[in-house]
Amino acid sequence: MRRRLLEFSAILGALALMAPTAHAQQEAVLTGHVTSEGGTPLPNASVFIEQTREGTLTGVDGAYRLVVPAARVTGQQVTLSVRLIGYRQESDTLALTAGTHTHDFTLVANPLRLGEVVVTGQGLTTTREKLGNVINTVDSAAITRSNETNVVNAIAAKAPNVEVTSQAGDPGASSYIRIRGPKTISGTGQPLFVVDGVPIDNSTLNTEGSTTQGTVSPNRASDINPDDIASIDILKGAAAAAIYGARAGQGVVLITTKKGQSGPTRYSLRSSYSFDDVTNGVPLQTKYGLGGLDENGVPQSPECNSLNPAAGLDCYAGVTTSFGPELPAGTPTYNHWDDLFDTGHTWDNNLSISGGNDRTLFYLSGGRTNTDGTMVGPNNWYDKTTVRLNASHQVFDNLRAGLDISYVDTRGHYTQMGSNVDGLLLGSLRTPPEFNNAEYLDPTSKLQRSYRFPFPSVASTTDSRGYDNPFFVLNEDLNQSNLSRTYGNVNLSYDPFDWLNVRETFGADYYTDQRLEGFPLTSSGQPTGQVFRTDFMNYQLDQNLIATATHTFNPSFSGSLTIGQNVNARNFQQVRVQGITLVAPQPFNLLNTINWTPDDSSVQVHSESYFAQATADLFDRLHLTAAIRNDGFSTFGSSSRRHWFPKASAAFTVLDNTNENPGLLSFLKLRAAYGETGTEPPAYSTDQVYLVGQFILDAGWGSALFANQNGLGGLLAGFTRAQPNLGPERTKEVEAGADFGFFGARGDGSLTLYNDRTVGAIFLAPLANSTGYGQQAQNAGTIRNRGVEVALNVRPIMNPDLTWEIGLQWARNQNQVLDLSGQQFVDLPTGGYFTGAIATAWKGSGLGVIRGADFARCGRGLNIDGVNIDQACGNAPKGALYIDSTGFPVVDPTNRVIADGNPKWTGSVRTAVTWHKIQLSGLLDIRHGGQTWNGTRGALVSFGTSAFTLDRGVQRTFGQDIMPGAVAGPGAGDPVVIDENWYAGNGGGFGPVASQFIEDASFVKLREISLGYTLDQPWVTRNLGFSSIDLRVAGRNLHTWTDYTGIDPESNLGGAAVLIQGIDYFNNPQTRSFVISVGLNR
Amino acid sequence: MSNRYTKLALSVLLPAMLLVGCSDWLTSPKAKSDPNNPTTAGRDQLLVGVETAQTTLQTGDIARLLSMWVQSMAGTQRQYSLLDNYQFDEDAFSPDWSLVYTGGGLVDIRTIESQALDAGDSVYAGVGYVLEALTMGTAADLWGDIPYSQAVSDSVITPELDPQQQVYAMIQAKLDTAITFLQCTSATCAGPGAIDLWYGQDANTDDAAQWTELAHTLKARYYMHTAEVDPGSYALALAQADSGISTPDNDLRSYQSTDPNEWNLWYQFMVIQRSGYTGAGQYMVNLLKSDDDPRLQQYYAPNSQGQIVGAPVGGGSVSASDVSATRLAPDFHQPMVTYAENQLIIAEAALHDGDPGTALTAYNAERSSQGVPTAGSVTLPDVMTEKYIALFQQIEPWNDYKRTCLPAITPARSSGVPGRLLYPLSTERNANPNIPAPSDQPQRNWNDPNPCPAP
Repeated sequence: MRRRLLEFSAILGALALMAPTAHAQQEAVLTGHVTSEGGTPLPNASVFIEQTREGTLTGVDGAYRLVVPAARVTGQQVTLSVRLIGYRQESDTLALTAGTHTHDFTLVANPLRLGEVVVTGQGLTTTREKLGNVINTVDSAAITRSNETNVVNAIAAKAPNVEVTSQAGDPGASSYIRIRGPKTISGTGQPLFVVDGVPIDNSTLNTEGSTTQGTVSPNRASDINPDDIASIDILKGAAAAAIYGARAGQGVVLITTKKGQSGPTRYSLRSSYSFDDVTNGVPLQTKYGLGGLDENGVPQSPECNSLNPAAGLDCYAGVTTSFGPELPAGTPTYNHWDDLFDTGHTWDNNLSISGGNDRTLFYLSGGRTNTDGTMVGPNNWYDKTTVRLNASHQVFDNLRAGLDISYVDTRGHYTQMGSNVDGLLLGSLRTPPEFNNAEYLDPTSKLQRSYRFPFPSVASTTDSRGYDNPFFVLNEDLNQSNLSRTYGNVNLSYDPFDWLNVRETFGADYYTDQRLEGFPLTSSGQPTGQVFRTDFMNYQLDQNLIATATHTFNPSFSGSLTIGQNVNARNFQQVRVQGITLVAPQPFNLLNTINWTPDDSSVQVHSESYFAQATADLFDRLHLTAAIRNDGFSTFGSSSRRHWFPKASAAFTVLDNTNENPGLLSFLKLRAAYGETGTEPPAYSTDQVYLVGQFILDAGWGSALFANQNGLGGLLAGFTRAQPNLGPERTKEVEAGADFGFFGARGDGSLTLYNDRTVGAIFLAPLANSTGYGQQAQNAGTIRNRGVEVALNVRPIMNPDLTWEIGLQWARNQNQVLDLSGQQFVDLPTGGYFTGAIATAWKGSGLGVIRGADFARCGRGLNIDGVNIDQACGNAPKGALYIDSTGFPVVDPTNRVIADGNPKWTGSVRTAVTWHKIQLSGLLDIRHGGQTWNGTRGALVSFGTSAFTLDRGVQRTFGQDIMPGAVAGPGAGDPVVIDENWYAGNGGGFGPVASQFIEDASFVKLREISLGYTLDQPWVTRNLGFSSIDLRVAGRNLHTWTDYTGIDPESNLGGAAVLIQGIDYFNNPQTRSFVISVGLNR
Repeated sequence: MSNRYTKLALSVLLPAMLLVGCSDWLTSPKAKSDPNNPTTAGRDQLLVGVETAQTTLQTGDIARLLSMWVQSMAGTQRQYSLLDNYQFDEDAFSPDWSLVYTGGGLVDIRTIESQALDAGDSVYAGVGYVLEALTMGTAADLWGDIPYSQAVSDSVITPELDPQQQVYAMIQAKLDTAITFLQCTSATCAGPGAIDLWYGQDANTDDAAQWTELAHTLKARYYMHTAEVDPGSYALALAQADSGISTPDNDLRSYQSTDPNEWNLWYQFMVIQRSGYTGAGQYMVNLLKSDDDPRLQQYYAPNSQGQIVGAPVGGGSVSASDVSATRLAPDFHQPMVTYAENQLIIAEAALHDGDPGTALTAYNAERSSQGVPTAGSVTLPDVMTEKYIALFQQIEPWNDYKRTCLPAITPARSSGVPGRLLYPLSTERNANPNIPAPSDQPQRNWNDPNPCPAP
């Protein structure tokens, strides 16, 4: 029987317990073929000698050839094993003697992935059947098929309860990932990313420090070249992630990169080219022009508009809405959406060279991605260049040294968006249909013209344009980022005894990101021009030392014990200077501005942790794991400097007949786990500080005095009181489930139930100001997430020439804020702030719900302007819309939950067909429920440019053809005229009622579709010199089925920088792609 | 065997060396302590912060509000029309409450005091005590019973309200101590010197003497604030005012400059941020016009029609005048406690004590200093009207009106000019169960039991 206990060290590729004594005369050559049960040759299978870890890969024809140097050929008994993802491992024993040995292997499909190595974190691995908790694995083929340059996007719809939301379709946009629901109030809810055992930074940094305006920003995990990834293991719950302690509260994404294999040097070149265009637009009207109602309620054009240049060159159109008269027939109109976009392209090239011999292995790769975005103009692109080297060397028979280093250079030019008068869509979509934005410079003055400022004179260099012309935004603004990043590790693996492995990994991640935003003269946000210069510097050092002892007591009882230490330092610095008022129009340079406001800060966090894990395997059926981690963080209060995070799990294989007589139920494993993880507090919450550089506000009126006066420095006691006892937020989770297979390899599935409770969630609780302080961080919130995850895979056809596989995933997470220490709600500190639609944690509701105002409804006990609404409602059902005597609904100013962005359930459908060398696959991503605040629609109905305002002047009856549903009250059933007064008032986005712009954001998205063909006939090698050529055409996000009326239900203004999802306010649009890809292998 | 032990030793000792050797890793300076903000502050830097924050309390939001309530100004647009009509919610003055207690307020004043005493600088400590009296006195005027004896204490997170009467008594005691402290002439008693934005900018004056005069005037002010319930206060006030601010040169005025960070808050509000929200008040404009008082042009600017016009309560439709260019200059030093106030306290108190001669002398001294004609006799309405005019844009006329009902303005609503502000919800009541709900709060403060006539 094979010893599985050393598998952990196998994945490290490190153990070499060579037998060095005797010397033979000749080398040994091991050859053979590896095929599937159907006889298909299996390329890329790993063939290796268990005892010496010498190995190679099979070729396209399934053949392998492994040469053992004469010095190590002593006639000893060795185990020759073959491993390939998707197949069960096979082994053969032989006496290693000089000469040629031929061993053919037939691999049995292994859909349950039993025996496959799973990375469990902190340098530990196990095999899948021993897992007592869920770890979802995404392999390199799935990542490649996704055609995504951002690794987070690549795992969308690949694992249940792993939700991925792309911020926008801009090149370089961030992507938000949420695993089993939100669990924190104060953070961004993003999981920990770990590459080859070393944590890396995944911040999303806005140049201006805002989450509602500025440009998209990459989440920094997108710096990883997806082509370098061998597999991604997602530790979803606390039971899986406890080994990462106080950094794992939001889950952990473990990325394992590709490594070299001994044997002939292999070359691979993969190139793809994509055609990208924007998806859903925003419905706009082209019937009515600039104007509004006069005192008689008749639409009038203002005298001052773009069609009437005679009104005067400096004519400033005080009227900004499109509620004017119907445009005369023949008036040219412009599509303010389509005009801005054309076809973008992504050109992605990756080259890798790998190989090695029995002592040294290497993998060298380079990648280059050029993305030209879908917006017209020169300032919408993102380029990424990566270089990576992984190498290892067997220094002594029991000591292996390794190196992994990546260098990344990303540069981008981005586009202003969001709640921002300099934003692209804000100005464009508010423009009346008859105004031609394309002529963004006045022909005479050469200055910016916009619909609110159509005729700028030469003198109007510093007059506000109201909103920027979108073509001015695209052509004249500068928003750039230049990032250099190096990350990787050096490692040593030492095997002093055959039962003990000691491994040291020292990793680092360092980057600088230089940002520059330049707004020219006449920009609406700052008509005198301004420059933001921001430098971000981030580094992380990580030292990890683990020792693992393994012992087999008898064939039915074996076990392992690991102890380890982790020391980590993170340092983040930013220097941001805002320069206002340009001296000369160019360059965008701080020295070329007059007033400077600096904002510089740094954060340093140290942690030191110890962990231990014990495993026991009984009768090859029962697998027990227990682990504990002790974390010390500099961010913890001095009185609670260290915290424990335990976990325990059990996996019991009830039935395993997959190899024998496959009945209905051929495999059944039951598992249960408990674990605890944490989220560390914000840095420096434990210190009482005095604030420098503060403005002392004159209430909320905008006026203020600076604390430094007359050249004298002033300090103020910080408004936030120190919390010396602050500890981590703690998530405790129970998880249980079953993995099963049926009809042999025909089908498999899994079912998982979990219930977790986060206690001590941190938020700033208000303090009585008479204490001298206004607020204090508290470990005071309790949040629950519980859910179900189901996966089912069936393979109706499993012929050697034709296979068909279908995979279904379904997951539900129910989130509830159970307690906020007496508060009804706590607003989320990370973004999503819009008047009337505020992201919040609300006791009894979900975390990240939106609070705001609704129209008055029956059954709420309302008393509005002296009217008892419930009495006036009579017998109307609870929730019926109250209509007053004017025939309109009235505002209920009560603050309440109006939207919940958390989906009811999510799922995916995947299918793959292989016929000879043709592969066809598709992936549908499904989200059911979850709401988005369509603030864009709210604003555009107020401006009259939305197609939803085409019913202006029409009589409508509330409850019938507007806001259908039950109505009550004195005016119920009375028809009213819907016009500008309604849309600019309570019926629009600038009125108090945000609830009417909450929309269901359910969708079904054709996430991926791919058709591939592999050329590996002998003539390919003979005539072209390649072992194989992969050809593929693919589509990404080709179609979305949704009722959402905005740009895309999968969009979020703040991206991965904010916890809240479901905020749509002039976000830049999403894109879809058509991709052609060629891979050359040798 | 030795090989075996070497290996064992290596695999145990090497890790052990790494495990130790970082005992202070978690408490290394930059990881443990905020590198971006200081964790300690010297009294000089705190004094700059406190004087700036208290300038905001004395000349900002509250001063504009109360100028509207005494109708020297009027709310002409948006929220200011509502405030002018006494319409405000529980949270309307939360930021002002914060200025009293949090950074820049009592918490920092206490640090200044203790640091000064530790350094043996009684003059500096005396400055701190005067600042404390000014700040807490203003809070007691606005809200009545306030947290004071338990405020800004490490051990109390829900401070109790002290009765307003007791707060005034504590303030008087503070000022007595301050006056004693400010007499110190020993070498350690250097005082703040040029760091003091209010009295330290003129090298030719004796700052400690100016602070001492201020302390006496403040004592007189707060005695006057208790006079409605305790007529004995007049004599006490008179005695203090005799040592009070002796010349307009010693007026307590804010520090401002033409630097945008140092602009006078009236300029920032009326010109930069909220143009049109507030304008001249009809009552004051008409009063100055009827007296042919030259301060009409000193206080107000002509409107677009070239007229000085005051708006009625709530704004009305008139095009109300702005404040004059002089007083709206970005670097206009806003008066906070003045010679004029001190002289008119003497005049009022002397009239009550049956000493019209002293009253007339003080009244005329004040009139002369303002450049307006003196009089041959003086009545209480004369004194209070003069004080109303002289203390334009300050908080004090509201206190005087509540106490004397002079000048006889017509309140905007039949409920009369509000006698106090509501305790703020978000900055206090939300987290302090000792604060009553709005419906349980008194309408009037202890020092002002008698409402003025209302329409």
